[in-house]
Amino acid sequence: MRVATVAHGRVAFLGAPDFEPHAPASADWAQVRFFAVRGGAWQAAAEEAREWGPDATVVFRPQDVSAEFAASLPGAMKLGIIPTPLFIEDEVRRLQLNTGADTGGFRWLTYLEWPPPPALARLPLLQSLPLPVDTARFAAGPRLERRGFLVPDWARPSPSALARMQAYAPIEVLPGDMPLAQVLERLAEAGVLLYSSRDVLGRFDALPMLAMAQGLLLISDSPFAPDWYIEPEDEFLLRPGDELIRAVDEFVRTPEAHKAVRIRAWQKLREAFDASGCFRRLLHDASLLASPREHLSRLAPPKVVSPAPEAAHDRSA
Amino acid sequence: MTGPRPSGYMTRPFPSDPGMKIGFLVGDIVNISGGSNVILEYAGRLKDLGHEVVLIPPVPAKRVHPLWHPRLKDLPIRTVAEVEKDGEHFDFVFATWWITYFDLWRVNSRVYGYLNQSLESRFHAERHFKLLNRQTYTLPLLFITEAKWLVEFIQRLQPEGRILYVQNGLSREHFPCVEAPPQRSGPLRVLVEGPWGVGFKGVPETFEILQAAHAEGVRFETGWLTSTSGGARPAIGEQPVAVHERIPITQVHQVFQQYDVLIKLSKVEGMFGPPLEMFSQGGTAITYTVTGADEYMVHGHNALLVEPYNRRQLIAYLRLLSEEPAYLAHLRAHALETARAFTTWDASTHRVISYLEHLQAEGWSNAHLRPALAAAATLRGHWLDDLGRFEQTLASLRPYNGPGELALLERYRKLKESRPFRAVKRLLPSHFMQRVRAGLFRVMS
Repeated sequence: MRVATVAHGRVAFLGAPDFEPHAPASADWAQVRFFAVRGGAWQAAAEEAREWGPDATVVFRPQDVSAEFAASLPGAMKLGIIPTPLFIEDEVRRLQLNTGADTGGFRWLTYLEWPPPPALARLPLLQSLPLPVDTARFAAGPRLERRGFLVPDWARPSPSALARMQAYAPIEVLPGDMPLAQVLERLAEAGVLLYSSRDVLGRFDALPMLAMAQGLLLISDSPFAPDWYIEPEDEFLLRPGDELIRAVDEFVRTPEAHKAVRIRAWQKLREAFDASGCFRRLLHDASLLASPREHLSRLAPPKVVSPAPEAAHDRSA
Repeated sequence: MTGPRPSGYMTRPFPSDPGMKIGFLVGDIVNISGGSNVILEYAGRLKDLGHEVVLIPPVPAKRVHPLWHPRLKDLPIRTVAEVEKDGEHFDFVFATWWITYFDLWRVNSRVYGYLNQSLESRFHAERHFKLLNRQTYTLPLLFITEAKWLVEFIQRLQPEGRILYVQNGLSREHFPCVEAPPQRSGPLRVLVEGPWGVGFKGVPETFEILQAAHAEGVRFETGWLTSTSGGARPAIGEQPVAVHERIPITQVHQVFQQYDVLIKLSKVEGMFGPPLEMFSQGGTAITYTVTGADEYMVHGHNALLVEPYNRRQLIAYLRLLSEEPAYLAHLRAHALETARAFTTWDASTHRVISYLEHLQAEGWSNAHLRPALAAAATLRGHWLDDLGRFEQTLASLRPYNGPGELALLERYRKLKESRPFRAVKRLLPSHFMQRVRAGLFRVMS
């Protein structure tokens, strides 16, 4: 998505290391930097960010920080990203204390889906935002020649189903304690992610989205939430029950027929779930909806939009 | 306001040059659609340049008067069977609507091409249609396409194909840019666009959102521009929506001028025209971040865009536009600038014809693909059509299982596979199990 030019200056992202692939590593609309919160050491990460001097700070899991800490975060605009469903009362209470224009903490929150839990509805929710992916890390596109199968240990089908799948192709199981960096490396080497879930995809685990962003074929027995509009059959394969086994056989026999799905998966993640685009838009809207008049005054001076590209693109030339 | 150019269309610079013969395999060209508009703009302008252009539908197409598009009047239409029977030879023949791809082989041509306006697999829910659609990218044709996302898709899928990216033009004849956005007073005027009964066009969903916005106190008036309302007569609150149905393309700009913002929530597009046409009449637009939107839409500059998962934000945007006239004016002014700067159909047609002439001069041909095209057509004629019929029959025999039911069934299957369940099952007499199964079957039925 293209977004109007607004000066955002420096934008800091704070969160546990596993959130790093979900924050932009670089952007053409602001200086961005991720500050990893290791072992729950929020203060150290915040100090580091303060030294850098951001104009805005985006925090993954704002429910983990106190009101005092939120108020002490650097930047004129502070946003909290709630990336997974919220159940714990303590977390809700913390958000009630650390969020709101008068708290000095988070000006806005986002929640991964609509509607949010009733307790959150009274808080300033700027928009729904599933955890995005920094797709620029995977700009090279799908490696369509790679055809290996992966299945995460925490989302594996029944042992008998897995055994039947392994009769068609070797399937590598990703252990639950594998560090994220290694998981990403395994994704880069593979062609297919099998995923058996008891919930709609993407709510509790970003792995399916990370796989699609790299152009893997995602074969799952559950769909995404309909609001996400990730299209079954065109962008991933929905194969409940034994169809999951047949899908493995089908891919082994006809990998060419699945290339279109892998390409579209990679494209869809960039179209609607790209971290740079999503956060740029989020900061834009935070400014716009807080005060439309002030926002207008911050916009780049009007200029004539440059004409659409005139040169015909001939890739064979 | 700038009026339509009196002379209308382009003329060929060297009328004595022998023109090329170009065919477009078309679907339902005689009825209103954005895709047909693109074909007619190219076909008409290529004809103006002195080329012989033929529209080739699968069955005889009866022109419906009044014609929805003036170009329909002059363009020859001959069916595939007629073209095939007469052994006509073309320099270029293009599939357009994806089903027409399977008739390409029936036309004798030096170059086989595909004027590809979308990934039309996404129009269909049925798997066999999607598989069939994928077949249309399996041969290295000459692809002409209007959107960068399609260029990228085709390049990666069919690297041997020739691909020409040409943006669709904005018709200055049908959508002459206004001098300035019309001044307004009163409530925000919102125009919905699209047919009622096509799921991915999102029209009923749009009216639901407008209804919710109204219930939350946002003030606006609503109109609906549609090729077909399907008899629907929506209302927002107590206020019936003004319906503009089956409006000839020459009059559509007059409808746009009556509104401030177009709201179009389609989820699948190649590169859609209506927001740009709205821009030309001094309005702005709200759309989803649909494929192709990035060809000319910039969030917060000339329009507002929202991801489908974030559609609740649409209400905030409607409130913003309704309560902040300065912001609405900002978007409308930039939208008009965008429309003014946008490429014309003349320019787009020149890019196409330059490329075709270049191929012609180069002696490039892919006529050798004809047998492969014929082979691909057999997939449609035999295997996949049969599969489709089989799936339809099967679907009629069993109740529909949505994702929720499938998840439940899957859990039931896992329960049945579990050790405790199997142990209990072994302990129970078989006639008891049969009675339980029969009882369950009755309940489920």
